[in-house]
Amino acid sequence: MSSDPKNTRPPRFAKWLLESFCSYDFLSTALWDLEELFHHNIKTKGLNKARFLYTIEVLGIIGHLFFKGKSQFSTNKLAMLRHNVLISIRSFKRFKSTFLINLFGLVIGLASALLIFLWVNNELNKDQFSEKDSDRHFQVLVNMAHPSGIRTRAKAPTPMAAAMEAELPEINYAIPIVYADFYQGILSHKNQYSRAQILFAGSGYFNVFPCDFVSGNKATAFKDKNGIIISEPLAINLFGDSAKALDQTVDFKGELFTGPYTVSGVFKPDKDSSTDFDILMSFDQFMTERPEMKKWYNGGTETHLVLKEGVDIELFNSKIKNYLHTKESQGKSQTLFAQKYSDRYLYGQYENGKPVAGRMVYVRIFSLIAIFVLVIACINYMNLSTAQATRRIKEIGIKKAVGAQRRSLVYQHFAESIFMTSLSLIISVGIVLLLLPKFNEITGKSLSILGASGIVLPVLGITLLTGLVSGLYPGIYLSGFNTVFALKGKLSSGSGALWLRKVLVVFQFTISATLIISAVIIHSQLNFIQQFNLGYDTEPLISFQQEGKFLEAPDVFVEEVKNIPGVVNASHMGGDLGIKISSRYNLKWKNQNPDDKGIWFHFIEGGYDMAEMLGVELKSGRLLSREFPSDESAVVINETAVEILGFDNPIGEKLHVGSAYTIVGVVKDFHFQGMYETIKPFFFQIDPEGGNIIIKLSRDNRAETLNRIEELYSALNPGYPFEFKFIDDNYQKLYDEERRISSLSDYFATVAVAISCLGLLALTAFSTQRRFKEIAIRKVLGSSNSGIVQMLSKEFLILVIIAISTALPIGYYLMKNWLDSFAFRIDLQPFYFVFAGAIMLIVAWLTIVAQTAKSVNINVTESLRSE
Amino acid sequence: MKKVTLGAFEELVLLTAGVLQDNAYGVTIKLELERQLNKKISLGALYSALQRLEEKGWVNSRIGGITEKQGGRRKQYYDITKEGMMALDEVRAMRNSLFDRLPQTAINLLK
Repeated sequence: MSSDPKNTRPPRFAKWLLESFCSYDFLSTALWDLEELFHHNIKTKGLNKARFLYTIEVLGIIGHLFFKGKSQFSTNKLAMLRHNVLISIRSFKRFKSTFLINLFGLVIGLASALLIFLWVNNELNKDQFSEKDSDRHFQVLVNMAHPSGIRTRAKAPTPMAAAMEAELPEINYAIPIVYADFYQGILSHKNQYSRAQILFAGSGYFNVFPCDFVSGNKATAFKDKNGIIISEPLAINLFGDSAKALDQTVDFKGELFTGPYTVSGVFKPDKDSSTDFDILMSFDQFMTERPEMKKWYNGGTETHLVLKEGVDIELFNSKIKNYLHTKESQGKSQTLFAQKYSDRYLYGQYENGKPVAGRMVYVRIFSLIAIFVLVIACINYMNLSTAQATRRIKEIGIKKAVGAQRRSLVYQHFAESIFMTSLSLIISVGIVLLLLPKFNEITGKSLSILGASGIVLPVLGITLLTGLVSGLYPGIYLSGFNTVFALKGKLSSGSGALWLRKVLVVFQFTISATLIISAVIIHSQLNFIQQFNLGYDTEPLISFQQEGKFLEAPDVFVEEVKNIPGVVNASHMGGDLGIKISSRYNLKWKNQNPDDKGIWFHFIEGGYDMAEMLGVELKSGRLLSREFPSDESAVVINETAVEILGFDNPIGEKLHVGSAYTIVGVVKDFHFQGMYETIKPFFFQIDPEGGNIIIKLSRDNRAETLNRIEELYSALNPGYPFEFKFIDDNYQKLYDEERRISSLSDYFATVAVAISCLGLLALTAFSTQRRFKEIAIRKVLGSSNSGIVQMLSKEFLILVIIAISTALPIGYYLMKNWLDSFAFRIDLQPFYFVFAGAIMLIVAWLTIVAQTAKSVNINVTESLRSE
Repeated sequence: MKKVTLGAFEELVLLTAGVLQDNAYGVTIKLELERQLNKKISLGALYSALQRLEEKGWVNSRIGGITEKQGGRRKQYYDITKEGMMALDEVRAMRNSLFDRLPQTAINLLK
């Protein structure tokens, strides 16, 4: 027994436990053995295992003492513990409904909190990397000032990373990263092929991003001029086994970077990363293929920096703010700032060029909901324990009379509430395991309770805290009774507790009502968005990328596909409706206000039929048509554009988009973006090729039509998989987040209401039971049943009504804030609040009446006779 | 009075305490038992068995190696008593007589 005593000390908590429960003689024996065993285990199994085994042994000893041990070996504390456990179990058995309601409330509360905790934990860990230089990893963002506000973008001029590294001494090194939908294609090996997204990265990539290699050498993987690093799933797809991939030759087919490559590494995709890619290539390869990117006017590259130790980010930001102004062909409207990369996921929205909480808002909201649901469950526990004080008041009186200290009585209640919460935790973990698949489906994540090793301590902490909060007030309240009164069975300080109980009930129902209001309004907004007339018909439209042979000759396919019965029309167009539509500024027109140069116009370039296929409504003039050869330099604009241009009759006027285009038609406004955006000025323009191919299907026999399209596609474009999407889905995806929030708020509102009502049920039951005699007398004197129900219900209904009226302004305020983020939104009409309030009131009323109506039927003689 | 019986685990502990002679205390008994039975024995179970044995008078405990510092730990040895030996003998005799009465067919199963 030598060496450093600090490192070889047994766990203090276990020792303390043993000291608390073992009598002196036995303790000294046990300590000797434990310590000898401990040192023996350190030598054979290592320190951590030894400490763990020590604790297990101590728990075993206490367990044996508790269940089988003779009293001479244990202290009074153990006897008291045994006594308290017995009393608790007896009271659980005697008041089964109270016990079950408490347990049920705590189980649901803890299960909800646990689910939310898993989700929050996952969100907080996104992009939090712990590679060598991750803590000094910043990303440069570009602010562009426009008359309509500041736009913040991550894409910067391509040469910037190298230039900054060379010119700014604060920078340790810079990592350029190119990541865009554009750089994807088909990777194939022999007969296996798979769609893949490329990410080009500078050599410092591995110092800041996690990227575990399954095979290959991380240090040299980027050195190979013809090398390609692929993801493990991709390797398995192509080779069947990730181990076989290394040094194999693969073929890449895309708009750029087509050619054979050698696999120089296989990496495992990181689950905490928010970027999704299948192929990693070096930035040098990118520059070799696209030397034009050395020019400053070419952008699209993210600039990641690793700063030197101790660089003040504020100072650095003020230094780089105007950095771009010194470079050729960069506008004065652009300024730069650097943001810590790990902050970008949660604080990834920008207002006026400053980062604001984006996803962090939802993280906060749901953390708050978790806390509230738990608090509601705690309140149930508190209310029921104090309400039932009369039932256990004699026990407390006797204990005090024989000399129990107040402290030990408080401890007893803590022990009971912690026991309750621990029991609830065990059950709720089971429930969480059952619900996780469904929860993952709603949240679109793949959470697992077993995978998150870091959650054990926080969860135990939450449980303990819940237990303490629940037990605190009952403990203090119950232990404070005057001994004499308590023995007589009278409550000495009833009114204070009654008042607090009412406040707590109001609090519970305020939270529940607020959640219901929010759920109702979120629902209505979502319905509004989904049923909103977009101004055109996306439903039967499919679109897919032009690849392979289609890049040169899409026309053959477009013409042939029209012959398939079930295909109404086919064409091509640029951009993805609902996801990304191109936009530009610096347009010119007659009598233009000079400030209007900065206005962004959105546009779709494509074939002649695109506007007709979208089903956009024509307002005046005509759509673009093959019959007018001059239409190659003509545009069709929307109503918003007409307003901005300011022409009384826009038909025939010129719009300068680079060169002059004639306006030949005006279409009604339609939502080419999501509901977050107001409708922007817009025009259609002809582009003989490029963009995606779009096909309009008739409503019948879609599956068969799609099959025939696929056959044609494979025949004309072998080696490329036919992967299409319905344009309608783009819109559905836009509101994924809202749908998640909506269904989650539904569930948690229901949970909150359920727990609150359970508590109310128990409280009503309790208070009516105490008034049995009063009820009997009233009945004898001729009171009607409904009169008694009314009298009994009034007291609680008033509380619920107070709660609802408190919740209305809170709900209004919260929902107004949420709705403000939508450009198109419902009005907050009184109806929603009346509806939500009515739901709450009816549910609460039913709960109360269910209980009071039962007590009206009591046997009058029975309850008057007793005593 | 009810006859005092020797449980299966108690019997093992008592035997081990006898085997270890002068050096039978918590850790040595535990380690020896674990080696023989090839499974983990918790100190708690061991103590409660030893305490029952002492109560029945089959082991005597004696204190050896008290340390004054470090919270007064002490080594408690357990020595098997004459009564303990008799109890063991009785159990063994009972077993043997039962074993002897096994029919030959059952013993043949061993082969």
